[in-house]
Amino acid sequence: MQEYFYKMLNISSVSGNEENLSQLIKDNITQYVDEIIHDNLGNMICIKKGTGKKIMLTANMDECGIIVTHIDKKGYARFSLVGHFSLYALINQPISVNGEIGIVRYGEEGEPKDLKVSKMFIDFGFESEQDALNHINIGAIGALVPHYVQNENKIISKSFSNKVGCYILMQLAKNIKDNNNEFYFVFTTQREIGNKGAKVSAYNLEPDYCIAIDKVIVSDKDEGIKVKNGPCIKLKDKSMITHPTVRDLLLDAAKRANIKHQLLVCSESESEAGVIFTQKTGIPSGTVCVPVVNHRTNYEMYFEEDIDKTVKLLQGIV
Amino acid sequence: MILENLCNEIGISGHEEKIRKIIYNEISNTVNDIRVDTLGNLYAYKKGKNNKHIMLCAHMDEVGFVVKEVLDDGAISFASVGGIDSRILPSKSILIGEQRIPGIIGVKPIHLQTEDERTKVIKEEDLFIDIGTNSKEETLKYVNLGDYISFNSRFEFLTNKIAKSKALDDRVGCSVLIEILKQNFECCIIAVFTVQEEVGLRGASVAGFNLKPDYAIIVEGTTASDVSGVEEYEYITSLGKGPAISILDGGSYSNKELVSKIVDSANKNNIKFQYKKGTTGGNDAGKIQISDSGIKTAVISVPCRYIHSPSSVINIEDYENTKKLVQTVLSEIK
Repeated sequence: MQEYFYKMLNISSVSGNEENLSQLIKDNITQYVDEIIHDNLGNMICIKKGTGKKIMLTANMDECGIIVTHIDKKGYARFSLVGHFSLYALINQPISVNGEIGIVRYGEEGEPKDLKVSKMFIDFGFESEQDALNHINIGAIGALVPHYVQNENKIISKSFSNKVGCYILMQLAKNIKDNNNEFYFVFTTQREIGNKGAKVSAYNLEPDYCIAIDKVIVSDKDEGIKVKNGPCIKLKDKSMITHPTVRDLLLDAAKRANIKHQLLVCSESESEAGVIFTQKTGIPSGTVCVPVVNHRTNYEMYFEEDIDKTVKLLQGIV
Repeated sequence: MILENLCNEIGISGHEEKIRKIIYNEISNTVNDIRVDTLGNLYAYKKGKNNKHIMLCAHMDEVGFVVKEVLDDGAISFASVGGIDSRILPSKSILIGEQRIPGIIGVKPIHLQTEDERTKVIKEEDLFIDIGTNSKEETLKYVNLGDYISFNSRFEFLTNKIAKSKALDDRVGCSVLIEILKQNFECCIIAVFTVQEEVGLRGASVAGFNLKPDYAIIVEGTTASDVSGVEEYEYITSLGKGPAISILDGGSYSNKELVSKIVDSANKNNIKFQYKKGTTGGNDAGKIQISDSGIKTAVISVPCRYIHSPSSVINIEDYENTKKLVQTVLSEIK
């Protein structure tokens, strides 16, 4: 992995607050692209110019987080979720708000059951309401405290889907030498709160086709998706059925380069491609997913070989 | 007071004509261009001196009901239009259709209810509207299928500061926009009065295209839950604490640079404000933010207790401060 990948893991980018990550990506991609545009929603569109097909590749920069909604008399912060965190994954975890670190606590005695966000709060160790208000404000955004562990080719970090996708896009921008087609590497915002960035950037760019880079949660069933088995080409999810043009493009690329891959048909998850394909007069779209263990928790796990193979697969589409 | 006229008129989602007419008459002489689109959204353009374009948005529609069926005994079965808590419905006075036929929402008398019925929330399908008739034929002389139904409730002051009415969500927003359009600003204003917000932001889904504003500010009426029996940390907004500024809700994430302009403006001009605390619920910003190639939005709301009921309650100072805040923000956009 490139050194900047680990720097990305040390940045929090809660939906709507992707600026720092976007800046780091920009610093490391500028030399490989011809133009960079920031749009009204904070999407960063990196263009490699060409006269052929317009190919859009997306990965979202944002992660789930919390927003402070109230400070009580004891100085505890009440909060709501930004995105769909599992409450079980949040409880007892350290959260950083405006640089202050606190622990998520549950306001009832005994083992937590039927978790409700309204019964949870963040304890920063402040002594009073005023003490808390001197450091954090209503509306402040919080994220899990960044950390990572690398164990051989295994990477464990807090909620870092889809920084993995962003990293893959950055590798593609560097590796793709095609001078004919035009490439839009789009680092999107606000995916976790409704695929907002993807929607407006696709409307704006109107590409000939689009591939979203996403994650897939590994299954504990025998026949399900596995780690270390390569990228998943998604054929169907809750939000879309992969367009045949894009599906064949991906399957052919995998075959040509002899890349071990998995096929994914699911009825639950959705992806950015699901909002992109209905923009303007329709955009043929598909999704390539990297397997992840423990999605949207403080300890997600990815394998380097899955990431590398995803890069190779996508390089092969041109 | 224009707010009072707007509240007393009826404009259930899909039937905003009367509200649109009041607004049209109020503003047509003070704006440079005014038009209505296919869905019924009203757009008013007021040219300024600089080249900044600010979109202001408020929805014209209110929650209500629609006539679903006339029963053999003359009673009317109805369906709600927009989100209404069915617990508040029994014995409420309503008005049906263009002729404003008065009626009462009826329910089976308590001594005929089973124990189970008495302890459960009465569902909409178990309620009916009684207009004083005894047969289907007689009811059909006054009422047609599909007629809209409104709460029968007029704007009035409870104290010199606290006002009660139906439809404060979002006639407060319409009223703020009308008053703003009567003033002059350096920036250009595109005011959009939308339809069908309460049934899924339908007017707003088309209103944000092709306007390319620098910013959009949505002016709303929002839930105030600062009432007896609610823990303070569950107050979404509170009456009397000024306009509520949204950071994040169920539909949109406000643009940070615009929110900080609004907050700075409030602080500089000593205008009391609060942050909206809950993150559920949504408004037109949810659609406008993702319209076209993306629009920078923010939401400023007047807190309303008992929203979506015949007796929503606001503090008129919050309304005045909301207007003042929108004014100062606009005047500071260079």
